[in-house]
Amino acid sequence: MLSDMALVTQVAVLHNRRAFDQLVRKYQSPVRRFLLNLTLGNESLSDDLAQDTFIKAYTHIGQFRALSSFQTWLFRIAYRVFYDYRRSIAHTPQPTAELVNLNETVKGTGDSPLRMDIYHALSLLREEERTCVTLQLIDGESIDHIAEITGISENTVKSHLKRGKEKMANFLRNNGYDR
Amino acid sequence: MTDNELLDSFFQPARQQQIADNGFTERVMDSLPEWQQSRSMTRLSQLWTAFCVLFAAVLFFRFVGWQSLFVDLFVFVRTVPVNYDFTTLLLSLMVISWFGIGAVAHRARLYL
Repeated sequence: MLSDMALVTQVAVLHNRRAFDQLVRKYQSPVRRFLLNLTLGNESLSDDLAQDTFIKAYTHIGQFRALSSFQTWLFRIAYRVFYDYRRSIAHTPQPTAELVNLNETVKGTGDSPLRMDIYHALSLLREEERTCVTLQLIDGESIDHIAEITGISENTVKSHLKRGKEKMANFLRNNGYDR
Repeated sequence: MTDNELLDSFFQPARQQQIADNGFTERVMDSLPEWQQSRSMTRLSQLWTAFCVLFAAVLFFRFVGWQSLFVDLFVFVRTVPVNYDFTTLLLSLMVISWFGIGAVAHRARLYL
């Protein structure tokens, strides 16, 4: 099994599609899960955004400098793709759109009640808070990696995490999850 | 139960979620664009080729390359029947021609 760096080099230098195929297979699950959480469980939207993410990664693979892991680099692209998507629909009032999406998702995918609760709880957070909370509590990223992915300072990431976690904990206590 | 413990246990299932590929990779691979070299890289590559050709030409004339070329050719022609195995020679010519034709075809595809 080749390392990520060896695969990336093969794609960048030799334009080896088979090497990129291996990278997509390896990272499709974390990238799609990250976007699924950002879109509050909207499967079709998150898959479209994940596809755009991998296409962007392919066309810009020469810019990967290995200063961070390949996954962190992919997450940064995924976050930008998601951010661009949000900007493109910015004229739509945010909370309403999200709740509509959430309801559609819950009906469409047959997710477990617990996952519905997770998306419902995440929908209570502001977008930046949700991104930071998702990256830390679900994807297990450190604060400096979250700052790198989102392009915001570590102190701001800490503030978003603090506020987001408080809101989440209050929601969980109010809904009896502490029993 | 502290806030962190509460959040940890709440997000536990989400942390373990693995999304099955279900044809996702194929869809991505099918929609990848053809690789296009950037304009600056193409220009750099052309400049490098031109530099190498020019450098080789300068060396050829500076060291009177045609003399040794003619001498070597003359010696080769005169000694072929004695020193060389024709099968090996033929195979070598075929391999060189194969790579030569490949390179020319590649160039032609790039410029057509």
